[in-house]
Amino acid sequence: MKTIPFFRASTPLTPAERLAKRNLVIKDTLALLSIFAVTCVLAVLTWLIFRSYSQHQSDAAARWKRRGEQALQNHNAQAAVYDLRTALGYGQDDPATQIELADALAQAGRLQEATSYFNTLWEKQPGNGYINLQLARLAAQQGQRSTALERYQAAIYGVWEGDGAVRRRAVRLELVRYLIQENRFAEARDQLLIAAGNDKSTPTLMAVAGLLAEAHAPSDALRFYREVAGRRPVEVQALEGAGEMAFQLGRYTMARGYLDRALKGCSAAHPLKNQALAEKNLQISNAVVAIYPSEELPQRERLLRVVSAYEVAQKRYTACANGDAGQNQAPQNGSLQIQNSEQIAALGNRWRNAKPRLTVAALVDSEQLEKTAMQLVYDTEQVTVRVCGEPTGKDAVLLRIAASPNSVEQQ
Amino acid sequence: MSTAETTTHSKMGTAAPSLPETMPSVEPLQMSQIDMLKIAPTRDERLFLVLSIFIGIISGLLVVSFRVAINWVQALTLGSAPQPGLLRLIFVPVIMGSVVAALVQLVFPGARGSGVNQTKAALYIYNGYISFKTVIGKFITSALALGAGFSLGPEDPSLQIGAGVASVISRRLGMSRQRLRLFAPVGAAAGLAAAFNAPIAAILFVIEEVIGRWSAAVLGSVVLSAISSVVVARRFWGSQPMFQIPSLTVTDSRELLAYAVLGVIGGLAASIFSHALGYLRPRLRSLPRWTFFVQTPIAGLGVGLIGFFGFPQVMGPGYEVMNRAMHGQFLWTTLLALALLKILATTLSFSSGTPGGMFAPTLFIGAMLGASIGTFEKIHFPNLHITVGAYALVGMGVLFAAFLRVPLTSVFMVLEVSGNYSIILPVILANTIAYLVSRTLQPHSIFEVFTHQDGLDLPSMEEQREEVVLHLEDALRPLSVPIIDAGETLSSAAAELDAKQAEVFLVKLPGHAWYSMTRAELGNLAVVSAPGTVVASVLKADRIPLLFPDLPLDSALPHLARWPILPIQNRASRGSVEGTVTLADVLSRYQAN
Repeated sequence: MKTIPFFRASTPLTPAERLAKRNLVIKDTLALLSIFAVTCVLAVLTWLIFRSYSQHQSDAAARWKRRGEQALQNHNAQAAVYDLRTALGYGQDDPATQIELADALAQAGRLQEATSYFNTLWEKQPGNGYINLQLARLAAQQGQRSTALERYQAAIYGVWEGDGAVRRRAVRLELVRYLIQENRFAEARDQLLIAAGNDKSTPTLMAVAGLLAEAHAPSDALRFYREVAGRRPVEVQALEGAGEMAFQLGRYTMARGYLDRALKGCSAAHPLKNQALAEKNLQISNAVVAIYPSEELPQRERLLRVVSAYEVAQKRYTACANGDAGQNQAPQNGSLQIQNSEQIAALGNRWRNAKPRLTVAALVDSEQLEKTAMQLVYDTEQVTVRVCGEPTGKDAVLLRIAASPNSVEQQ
Repeated sequence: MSTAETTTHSKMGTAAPSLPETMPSVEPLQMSQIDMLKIAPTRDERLFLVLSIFIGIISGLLVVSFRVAINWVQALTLGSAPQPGLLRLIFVPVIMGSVVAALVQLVFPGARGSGVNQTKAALYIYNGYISFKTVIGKFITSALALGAGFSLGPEDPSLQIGAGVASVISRRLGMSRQRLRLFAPVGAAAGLAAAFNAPIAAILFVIEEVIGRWSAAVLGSVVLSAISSVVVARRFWGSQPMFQIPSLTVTDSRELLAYAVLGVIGGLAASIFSHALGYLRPRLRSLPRWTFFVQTPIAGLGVGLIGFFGFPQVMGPGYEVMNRAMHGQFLWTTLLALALLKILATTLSFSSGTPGGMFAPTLFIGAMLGASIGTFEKIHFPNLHITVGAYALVGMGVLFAAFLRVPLTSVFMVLEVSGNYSIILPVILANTIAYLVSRTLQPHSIFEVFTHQDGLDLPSMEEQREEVVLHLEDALRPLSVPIIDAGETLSSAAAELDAKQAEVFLVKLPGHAWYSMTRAELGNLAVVSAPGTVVASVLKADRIPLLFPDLPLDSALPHLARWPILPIQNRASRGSVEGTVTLADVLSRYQAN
């Protein structure tokens, strides 16, 4: 007998058994076929149900996402949180919706939740620039300085979709603003110099220069303003910025030049940031240049200015020492009062030893006298401002020069 | 062939097909008259494997439909986005609870409960029988209950649906009773694997909880069915793991302490959950029968109120909420509240007899606890690189191990649902601690508690773990009987035994083989043999089997009917006897235990 592997028999079968066996084979085959048919029918039914369900899921996800985005646009962050969460319930793997939800949480002021959510997103994409930036902002809002700085740095060097260079620069400038806010001016300056090194375009240099000014780095700010001011077409705000920085640095001759050009070049189409300030500083710069005994001037004119300054300072000292100039209104502690008294006494000694009246002829004879006289003038203005308060008129101008006499004409 | 098997086969039908003309006309035999072992000795075994695949596929399809049905019911009744304050959160569970209670009490009584114990009972008590009606009932009532927000899960019903499918198919094919029994776990594994998208965890769970012991006979089919069902489920849901968390690296060993804390808290939570269920369920079941119609709606009201007053997340299986917890979308206080309220909601839902499973609530509670601890530690210990998702995931495993008492399954479950093997160290640590804490506080697993409450007594691996397994070394006696060389003559051997007054002795044979006999046997042989006959020549052909000290004690029993004494040999030194055991030794050792 031929052995059927599926029903291998060890002993010969009787005819009745063979028939029963054949019946069993047919029966089992039919049973398996019927199970197969049931499986096929069930598979088709399941597929239809599932397709309908999937369609419902994706429709619902899209609908809720649209609602969430609309709510975000309407600045209704709480509603956006709810809508976007629901959208994610229907399509959990949509990273864009996840980020939108985290944004919505942050906008809704739910900072801990937003941080937690962004942290989870960050764990999936630690190099994502946007997620790092949002985490940095959240950390900054929550006063977590080190985390904020770490995340800002990660955002700068992170992955950005689209124009990465522009976004990185924007993040760097945002970091700089944060550093300035935290009074970390040196770090801010470093970041700004990197930003300027990466992009020499006018808008970037203008932004960098402005932030450098805020970061107490007027010298660097002046450099970039001047660089932009040298370009064509001339940017009046660059002229204004250069003028302001030069003014802050005591470089009045330069300030006068830039501020003058800025004011002349500005218009409704090209306004200055602060025209009133520019006009005021130009006026002061003109006054400084008008009395500064410049080496560039003819000798007599320069010495006349020295004599004039000497007389102004002498009067200022006399008035201050006699109490006619009034006393500094600012409250002073004991030690400072003693210090001021000692300084005014020392200044008095110097004036008593100095010539009571300075002449051009005497100055011509002695170059040293000119220097000594101007030094006495500057010292007088600086001591009297502490003892007798802010000066006015020429004293005020001389006080500005006294702050940095050598800078006035520095280019 | 046993009577039962004969009876089973008698149901296979008797219609004889028309015979070919070439064959002699033979009166067809009734199946009851056929010796199946003769005409188809391997039929059951091979059909078993083929059917396992079919069972897996059908179970997978049914489970996918089941999950879709739950979601549809939820969308149609609770809406696409349930939020606190919606009155439907109260009305829907109450109304749907009434419908479910009526269906369970009047139409589908077998659909009550989770399905795990019912499957286990089918395996051990009802010869693998689960009615088709129960399968349909489980599908419908569970889908309605879970969709309406009852705090239960779809996995245990999926397990029972799978087991029911297997039972129906195997009965249809007229398998033997032995095979019918084995089909229930095969289907159970398929159903669970499809529900979890985790074949290994499903296989282990079925072995740990349903079968209750490792069984080589069923392992192949369980694997086949589980794989088949998962392939089907993945065709629909996709192959990505259920939960996606970033890869975890424990760089600071102190972080393991944090996971250990999670293990302790998880063990305590599991104990609370277990005690709550163990307290409420029998009390509700002991109430008059008419109350069964209102228990489910009342439980629905309780769950609905929790949802209405601020925590709709506890309603339904809660997988989406678990995912949100893993993504750190909740405050740690909210997570803790959700864990506690889920315990309450699930206790109400399950104790009322609502069809639905314990897996999803267990995972939910674990995820919330884990995420809560993770979030707390992330805030207060910023130096540790805490990943909230990892804590939630470990928390799931912790509750699974502590509450369901399936430590092995819990580890693989976490690995499979996350697809993340980097988490294994914290999972093992936390699960072990939770398991030990929970066992200390509650000696029995929750399914065992339910079994006893239902008046059943089913085996469990948990019980086996408690059992003291005796080995041969426990009954071993030092070698004190004489050893006779096979080359000695019968007369000298008899003289030696007489001198030592030994009743039994061992014969050492070439090739490290041993033989044992009594002095009386030797004496009889000596009488009928010629002088100078050596011992080896009169011995029978069989030899004492190799037995070692580490073998189970019962492994000696079959041989003690033949041999008066058994030498126990050293595994490292063949032929070297470490001691002996006799039937009296074995029995006295068992009695002493």
